[in-house]
Amino acid sequence: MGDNFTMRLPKPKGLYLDRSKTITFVFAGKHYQGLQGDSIASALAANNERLLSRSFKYHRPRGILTMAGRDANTLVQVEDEPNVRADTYAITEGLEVFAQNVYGSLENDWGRFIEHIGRFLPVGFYYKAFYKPKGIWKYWDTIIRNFAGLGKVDVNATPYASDKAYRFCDVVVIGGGPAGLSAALQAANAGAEVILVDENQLLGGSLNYVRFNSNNSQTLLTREKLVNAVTNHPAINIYTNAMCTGWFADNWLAIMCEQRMLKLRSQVVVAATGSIEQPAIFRNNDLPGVMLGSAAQRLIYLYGVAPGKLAVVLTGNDDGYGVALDLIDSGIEVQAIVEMRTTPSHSSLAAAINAKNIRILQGYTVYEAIPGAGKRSITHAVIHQISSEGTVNENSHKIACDLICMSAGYTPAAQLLCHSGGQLKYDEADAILKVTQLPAHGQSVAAGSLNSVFEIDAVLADGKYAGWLAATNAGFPNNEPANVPHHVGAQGQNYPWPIFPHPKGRDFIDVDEDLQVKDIVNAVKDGYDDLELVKRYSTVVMGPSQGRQSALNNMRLVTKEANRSLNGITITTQRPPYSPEFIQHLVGKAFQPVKHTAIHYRHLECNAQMMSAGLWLRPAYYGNPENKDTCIEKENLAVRNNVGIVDVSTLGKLEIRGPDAAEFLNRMYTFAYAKQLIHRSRYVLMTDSTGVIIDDGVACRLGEHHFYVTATTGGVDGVYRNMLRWNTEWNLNLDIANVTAAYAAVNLAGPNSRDVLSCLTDDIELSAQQFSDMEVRTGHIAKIPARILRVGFVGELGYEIHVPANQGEALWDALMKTGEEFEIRPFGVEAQRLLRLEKGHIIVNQDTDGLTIPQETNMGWAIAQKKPFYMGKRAIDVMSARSLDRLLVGFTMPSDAPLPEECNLVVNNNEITGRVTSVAYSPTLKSIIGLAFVSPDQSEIGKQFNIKLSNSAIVKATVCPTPFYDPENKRQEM
Amino acid sequence: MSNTSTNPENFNCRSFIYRKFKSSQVIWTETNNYGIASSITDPTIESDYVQQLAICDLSYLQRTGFKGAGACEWLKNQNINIPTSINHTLSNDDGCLIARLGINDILIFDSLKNQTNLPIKLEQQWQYDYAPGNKPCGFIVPRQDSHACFSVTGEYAPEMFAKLCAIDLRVKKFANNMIAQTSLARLSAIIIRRDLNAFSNYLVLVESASAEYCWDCLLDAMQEFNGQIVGTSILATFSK
Repeated sequence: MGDNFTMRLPKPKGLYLDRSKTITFVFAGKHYQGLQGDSIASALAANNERLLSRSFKYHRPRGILTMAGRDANTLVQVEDEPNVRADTYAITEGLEVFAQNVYGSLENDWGRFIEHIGRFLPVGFYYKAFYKPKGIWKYWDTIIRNFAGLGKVDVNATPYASDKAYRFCDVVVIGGGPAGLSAALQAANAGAEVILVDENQLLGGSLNYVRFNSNNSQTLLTREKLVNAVTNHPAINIYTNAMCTGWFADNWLAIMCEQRMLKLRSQVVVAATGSIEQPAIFRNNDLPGVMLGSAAQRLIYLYGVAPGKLAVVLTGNDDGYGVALDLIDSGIEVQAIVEMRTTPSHSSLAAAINAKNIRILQGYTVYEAIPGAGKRSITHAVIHQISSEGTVNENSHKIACDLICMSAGYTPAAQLLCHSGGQLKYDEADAILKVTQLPAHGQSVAAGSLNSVFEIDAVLADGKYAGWLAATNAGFPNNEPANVPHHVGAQGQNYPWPIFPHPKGRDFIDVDEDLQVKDIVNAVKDGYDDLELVKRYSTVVMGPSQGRQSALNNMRLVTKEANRSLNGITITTQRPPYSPEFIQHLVGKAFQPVKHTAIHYRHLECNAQMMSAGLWLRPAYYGNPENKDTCIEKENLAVRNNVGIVDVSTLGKLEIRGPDAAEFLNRMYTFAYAKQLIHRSRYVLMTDSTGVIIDDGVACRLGEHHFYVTATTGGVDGVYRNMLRWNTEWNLNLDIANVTAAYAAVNLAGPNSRDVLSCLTDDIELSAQQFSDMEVRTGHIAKIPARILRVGFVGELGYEIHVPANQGEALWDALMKTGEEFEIRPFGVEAQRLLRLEKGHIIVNQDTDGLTIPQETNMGWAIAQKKPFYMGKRAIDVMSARSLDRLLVGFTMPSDAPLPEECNLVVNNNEITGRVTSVAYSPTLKSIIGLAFVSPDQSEIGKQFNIKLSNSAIVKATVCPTPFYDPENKRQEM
Repeated sequence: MSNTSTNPENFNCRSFIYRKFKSSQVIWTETNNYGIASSITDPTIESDYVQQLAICDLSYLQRTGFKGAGACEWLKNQNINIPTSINHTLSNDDGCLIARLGINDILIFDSLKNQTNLPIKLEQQWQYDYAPGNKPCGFIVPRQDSHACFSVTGEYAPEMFAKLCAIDLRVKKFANNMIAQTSLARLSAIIIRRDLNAFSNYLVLVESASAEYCWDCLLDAMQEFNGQIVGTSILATFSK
């Protein structure tokens, strides 16, 4: 058990705590106790345990830096979840927390010896090594990846997706600090519906932990008043523990809550995300015991933990005095305030420090922190007088301390703004980055310290103004005038050069990536003198904190080394997410629409093996997979010799109605339809404007001005879009309706199909004389209204029956019941494809590709040459005048030859001349048959060509005429 | 199949999701040549459900569409009230619901409470008789079969829809009688707010082939709010 509660402070400190509940947890193998509301880091700090992790490269000991989930120092493994921020992750009973990126134990990490070879790992060493000899990277890759440990993922974890949800509001306020609370209240009072999003568990932001004046009671009252007003306002919806991670076009924001991702749409966004305190750069500024002033304040106020016992405060602004007062009030001995500024502060905070006789070293800096045993703590601060920008006088003295708090200034937390087009620029006068452009074309407002306003009264006024402006822009003007608040801006908040390089190094500018001042200097010397280039070369600002504590100082250093002016410099590109996101939140529910035909369950009941056809599910064949070939063969023979039934509901179906319907089809398809007789059907072939085949089907003329057109399953949506688009241009007098889902359809095929059907209809004459091939009838089948097409896709007497979809299952039931005495057999897509192959019919997109023109597939017969226009005519005419490069031909192979696969290549010597598009063994013809593209000189009937199999073996195929089966069409014309 | 007085498979017309009703308490009755799940559980319990969050399969509900030049004029001549604005609905005098999806695209539902057979009657009255000089009269669109129809009722319906749909369907933003032609769980959908007395009620129409998928998505989204399936009778009870 650790040194229990030695650092715990009494009430009222510890805003987050429930002191009545003690929680036991395990960290790095040791048991600790904390209180309900503690984070892992605060509970450890309460036990005077400062070591949280080891650094990325040198495995240096690391502790609390920000206490705000904004740095890599606090990354730990919680059970099977890596990279948890220990400073914000709440402890729970029995929680097991592990150190990550250590070899051995956290305390005795042998990886720390890497630091001793640090000089062999200069900036950009990745690029300077590991590339010679050729291929050596594969060796180093494994080693380097093993070293770059950032936790362990449980690869056996069960994936889980949380569903997402949309949220809508007039004004969203990001940030529940003083500016955000004021803005939300003002906007809601104006009548706007407001959503307030804050990443913390309690509203209040800096009001919860920052000392704005010597007597802090006013701050606490302000907080209570604002939070109560906001919480009780009916028009404000509050999301705490919620992180806005991205701001996208049209004010679409991603909000990560504990359980799900919210997709928020707001008319206006108020960004009140505050600012991020910045560290000073000195030797050993990364060790446990060195932290931001705001981190110490968070520990005190939020978690009731003393951050140390003996403190030095390094400051370049008045906030450091507030930190010192808070430390003193918590019983911590403040040894000195090391004030980087040369001019004494006259603030009330400084006066309060003076009144307490605390030593203030004006014009000094901490130049080095002296480490304790194993560098797991600090024992002294080495103080030097500042001589000029970034340099110090030689004289030094040591001050004993176990805590150094840094208050060197701020940078706006403007990442979200930048996601959506906002801009920041460095203002040299105030030594701070300022927001110079807001996103969303006037539909966004910045407020508070993000907007370079820091005095508490000004922040509150700025928030109020932002709320007023947001409400007005959202359409809720109110009578209260727009009082633009007066304030001094960011003047005095940032010390302009808190960077003091040490000759011995370890002056870290980016603690995530273990980058020291010399690394950045050397990157510029290597020629990478632009911020974006330095970023990529050195990986500065690319670590888990994404530059929150390093971007500002890096910018200062790079511009200085590159001899450029800082004024007006902007930061590197900010990209979402602002904060880590759970993949389960991003994934959400995977909405994958599926389409079922009306007969779907009947197929399952018949043991169909289903296959995907676009979004549809179709039966591939009926029976057990181990007998697949036998099942398909039986289905094939049933159609050839008896009667089979296949569900073709997935076919595209379009109603083309109006006086210009025939003219429209004439333009959309290659064939001629003007003279097509009523109750007749005709093949349709659609080409695009380049003459390439894109779809086919059948057009049934149901009336003078009414065509019912089928399209391919996968092509109908495109065909429908095409038709709407072109008719918008042509403005013909007709209406187009996609009725694919409205009709179920089956194809009853085989020599006995007429006998089956005749049992179920009394209003359709089915004899060959009365209802011949390619004719269409309307009537009733089993009392179900139906459109019946005599089509021969499978090459037998057949009836394609289309009925209202809600009666599709009843139609199937009736046909199957009546067909029992004929031993009717359902057949699937596999048998259907084989049957059509025997007839030599092509399938668009299987036997054609993105370049196939009709002539290549011998479909010149489907082109009405005399038509003045159809889609693609011009291209087809041009290409027809040229010699063809390839032709689609039928081929046969002996039944005992190895069966090629679709897409096997056709080769001539070593030259590829084509490919197999369809191939199968035909149980009817007792041989292998197929279609293949070949070169024209290989296409002559009787010629042989070579097919290269998947195993590279060459087999011979013989060109033969199509159809392979029933070339006189006697079977389908029965 | 459930304990029923009527088997839905005894009828030619079948809802696209009739197999989804597995409760042994389902009461099946005949309407419009469909066997429909008129009651799932005790009416008083169903009454509570519809006020909180409930879903009902209305695929049986007679509906038809008229579309194309002249459709609105023809319907007006049949004494049908046509909404003046697109994406709005109106009640016909007989309680039928008239939804305007486009300038010349009208969707007509029979009354939930009293079966009038208006959609069928209109389809029977409509005759395409083109001749130069004749007034166009639009064309029938088979909405009964092209779309499944569900009713989602209750206080939590908008919050549930927010998990599936990017349109703000909250009652203060999406007024009664408004229509959203949008995407629901990546499906094209028509959502019509048509309140039942004091309860929020949304008619959801999706392509019939995706009816099962949509039903499952809705049920999954409703779980968070303890949403339940109810029969058609309870909706008719609350219908105006």
